[in-house]
Amino acid sequence: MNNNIVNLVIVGGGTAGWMSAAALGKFLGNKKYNITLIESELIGTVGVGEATVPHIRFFNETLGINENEFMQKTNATYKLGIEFSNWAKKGDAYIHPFGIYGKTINDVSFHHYWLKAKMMGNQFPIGDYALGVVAAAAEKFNYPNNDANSLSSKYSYAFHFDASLYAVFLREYSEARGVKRKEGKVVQVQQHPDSGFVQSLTLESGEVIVGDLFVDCSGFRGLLIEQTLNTGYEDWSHWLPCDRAIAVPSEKTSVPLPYTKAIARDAGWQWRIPLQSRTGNGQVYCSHYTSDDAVAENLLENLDGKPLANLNHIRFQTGRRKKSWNKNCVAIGLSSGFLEPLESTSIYLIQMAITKLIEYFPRADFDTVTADEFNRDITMEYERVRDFLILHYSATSRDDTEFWRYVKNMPIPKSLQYKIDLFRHQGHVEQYKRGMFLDPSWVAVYFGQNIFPQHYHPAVNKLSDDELRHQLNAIRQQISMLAEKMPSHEQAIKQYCHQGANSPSSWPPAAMNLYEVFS
Amino acid sequence: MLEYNSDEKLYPQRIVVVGAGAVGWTFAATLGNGLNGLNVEIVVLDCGVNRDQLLPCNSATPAALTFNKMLGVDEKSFISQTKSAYFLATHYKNISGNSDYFMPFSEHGFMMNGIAFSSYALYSHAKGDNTAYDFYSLSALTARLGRFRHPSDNANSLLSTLDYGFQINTNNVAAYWRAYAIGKGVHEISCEIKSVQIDDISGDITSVTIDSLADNKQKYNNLIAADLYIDCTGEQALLIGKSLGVKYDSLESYLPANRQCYTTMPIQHAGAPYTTITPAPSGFIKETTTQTSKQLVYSYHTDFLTDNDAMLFLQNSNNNASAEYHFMPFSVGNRAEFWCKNCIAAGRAAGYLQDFVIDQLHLVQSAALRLVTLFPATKQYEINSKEYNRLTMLEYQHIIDFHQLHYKSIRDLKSPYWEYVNNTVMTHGLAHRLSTFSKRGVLPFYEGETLSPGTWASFLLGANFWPEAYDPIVDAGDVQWITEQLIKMRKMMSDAAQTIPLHHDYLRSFN
Ligand SMILES: Cc1cc2nc3c(=O)[nH]c(=O)nc-3n(C[C@H](O)[C@H](O)[C@H](O)COP(=O)(O)OP(=O)(O)OC[C@H]3O[C@@H](n4cnc5c(N)ncnc54)[C@H](O)[C@@H]3O)c2cc1C
Repeated sequence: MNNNIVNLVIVGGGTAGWMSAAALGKFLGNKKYNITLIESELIGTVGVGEATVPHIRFFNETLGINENEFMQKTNATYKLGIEFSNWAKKGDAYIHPFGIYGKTINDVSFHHYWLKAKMMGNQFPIGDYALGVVAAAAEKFNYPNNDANSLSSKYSYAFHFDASLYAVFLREYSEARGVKRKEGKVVQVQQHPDSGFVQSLTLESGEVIVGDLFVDCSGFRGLLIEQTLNTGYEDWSHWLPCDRAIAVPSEKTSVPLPYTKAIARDAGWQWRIPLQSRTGNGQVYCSHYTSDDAVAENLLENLDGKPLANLNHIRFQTGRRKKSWNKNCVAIGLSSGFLEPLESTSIYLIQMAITKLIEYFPRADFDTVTADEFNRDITMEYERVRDFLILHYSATSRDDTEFWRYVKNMPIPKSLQYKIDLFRHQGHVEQYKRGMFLDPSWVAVYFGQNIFPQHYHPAVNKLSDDELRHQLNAIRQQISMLAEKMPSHEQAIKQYCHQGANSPSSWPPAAMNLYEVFS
Repeated sequence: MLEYNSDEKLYPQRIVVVGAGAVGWTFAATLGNGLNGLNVEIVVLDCGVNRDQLLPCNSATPAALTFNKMLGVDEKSFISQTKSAYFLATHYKNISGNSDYFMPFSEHGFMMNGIAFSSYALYSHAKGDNTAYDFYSLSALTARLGRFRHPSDNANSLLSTLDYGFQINTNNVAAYWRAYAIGKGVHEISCEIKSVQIDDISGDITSVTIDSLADNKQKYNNLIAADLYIDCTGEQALLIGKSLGVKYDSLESYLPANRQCYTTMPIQHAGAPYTTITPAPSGFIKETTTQTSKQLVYSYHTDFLTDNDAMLFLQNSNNNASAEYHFMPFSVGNRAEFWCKNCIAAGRAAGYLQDFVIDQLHLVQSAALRLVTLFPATKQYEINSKEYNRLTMLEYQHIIDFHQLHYKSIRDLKSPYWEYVNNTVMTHGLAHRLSTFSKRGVLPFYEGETLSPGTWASFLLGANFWPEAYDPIVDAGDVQWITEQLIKMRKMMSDAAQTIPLHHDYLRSFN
């Protein structure tokens, strides 16, 4: 019964292509499989994905990558969360941390206690009760601690890095495991006349590359999944209307922050991603409400340091490929859909698709049942991220521009409305297991954007008002003390990352979890 | 904007639990603990016959450990007072040609090189290795040997992989939670229920009229009013069904059984740390043993078997001449809404999905905890009840799928009953799972699932549902290395199982 596939062809050498090559190279080896990656310097990559979520550490760990060496080679800094400013209204700011708030008391989540305290007049924002937030704001960093009882175990971390250097790093890794790289542009695709399966690709040089399984990492164009197989695209731009971005790196002007900034602008928002040697910047906007020139001007005005390159203009449409896996082609990365980088989710979605592809790795018969299951999983991931992103826009009280008036009033998915109704009523966060953003993230954005429940959970009243004040104070003070003791982010980078490749693994284990590494 | 007034209590002030069986007391205990200190008055109406009818013995999944922990109950006291025994695995006899299989609650084997263990087992089977899947589970091997110990705290130890629930005496457990609930301030009224009053406009239950028995006469008048009512009156569903008219949707087309014949016998010392399920000509027989009793239950359908034949069959499989046999009718199904207006149904009033692995008490614990989590902050229940119903329905659907799988696994018994069962339609969920699993062992992920994919795989492989193909990624590995690892794993597990004490010795020393 050997109907195993033999030839794997990955089209595209962006983040998605090289992450796929590295993982497939690691899991399949080169004894029984030939893995070829085709990329074209002429076409180039998007390459602006620079902010990540903690799951990437799990990806690296699975590959056996030394975290410190990885940081050195990709110019990386640590990331504890994202600061959102001007989202609820101009002048507001909150940090969405990779960590949890306070602690559960009497089986009731902390945010219910905070809510009651707020009703009683407590002025401290909920972020003051999360070490991830306090440390980030103080520009500190340290590894979380392996003591489940300590508040210092209740956060996780990710990185800001140079995506093109990560691709280079993974290319070395992949080539060492037998992945063959071909430079050249695919100009023609041959399909099986009956089944429509992709059979081979022709490069500009005339070379023909035959494959059994094709992984389409060709970016927005979806060379195979769309241009060849016409799979179709589900458009989400009525919910996430931004459709363009301009990116530009700038000179570093201060020590790097341990968090990403997402600053709302008139018709979109601006990111600021601190690397070791430079800062990544860009604006995501909706072309219906502003012009490229206006955005470019605004972006350049708002840079901290001198621009280091020409403006990089990018166009996109938010949405999802109707099937990520169609026939013998699996789309990973931008070819499978696009959700704006507001919560740094793209690389995570690449990672999930790779993990699922390995779990459901096909045989030559390409049974559709397994492919459908892959698609069901990916759809669930995309839709859950989508709802979370939409919340950032719909939960605003801004009405100062046409763009903000639109997103404030737009109809939202039923699944999201249901979640918001539940929360507004008495602070209940819809429970689910699958999907990257769980309770703490929803709470961060609800509160950060002024969605306050009418009631808290009645069991909060098991604590007297005095006990409540006392416990909240104790947590806040402890967190501020723990943050105080941490080294600065800059020192931590020096101390950990510069130990380099030969360092013993000092870093904590990784987990497929946004909030904790020890679980 | 938010306003705060600490004296204002908007949430329900009084809850009445109707029906004082194991279901009612489990529910009352959970509320008594979850709402302790909030000045919520909880009253249990012990209205004699109007209670949920459970079998004398039941089995509780490992969720009972979490439950006990949340209620702050020490396991030692629970075990010794209720005379419960441990429950490491479900023993299946004669399912699809597999004469003897143990399905544990914990995962089988270990992940190797980032690839799930089941992929290796499927691979090895495809290469002609006939090792049963339960040889890769310490819990299963330990159960098979009639042994038990608690899991080790050391996460690196093989012994930490043991996972267990309980086999319980229902009446003892009811008494245990009754004492616990009363200790938490729950009141009890022995009474007869005379009528239930409904508000014309809102449709809510406004009160229950009772005829209280002598000893309560002074304390309570005959009209018991509450903000929330918990209907634990069993299949009669006095409140949710009879009074509120919420309909009961039959599931008999998926789970074709409607009657039980059972017998319970005293035993000298604790029996097996597992329950046993065996197919019979017109249904299934389940054996449960606690520290003090052994119970045999034949669940069948009256269209295919008479009570007398059921009893004779049980008698034949049980050589205890003095055993007494009882019958209990039931209807499998679920309430269309579990929480309607100001009434929440639990136990058989909410539904009955049979009790192959997930039983009534599991569902009651889960329902009661869910109510505590969603405990309404005001007397407007629409949002809370909607979420409660959504989650409960999800939970039920997956359990129905898993229980129906038991029926669909019997492919080699020839009888009119099994022929009928073979032709019943599958639930959508079960059909989907079987289609993904039969290709190459993939089990779909569903939200709200009680049993892990690992448990599903365990059952399926135990019932000889070997997929058409295995995960081809395993082929990338070294054949010899894989074989060696599997042999090593088996040996490690069987060696470890031998070091574990016998179940009854362990219980004796623990008590
Ligand atoms: C403005 C913006 C900001 C972003 N920020 C983040 C972020 O902070 N965090 C995050 O996780 N993600 C972010 N992303 C997403 C992230 O950039 C992408 O997910 C990531 O770069 C993966 O892209 P890709 O590899 O799928 O496609 P690309 O980078 O577009 O790579 C496509 C590859 O296909 C090759 N190719 C295409 N056509 C052919 C052909 N005909 N022949 C041969 N080769 C071909 C190209 O040469 C290239 O190598 C951002 C995206 C945008 C647009």
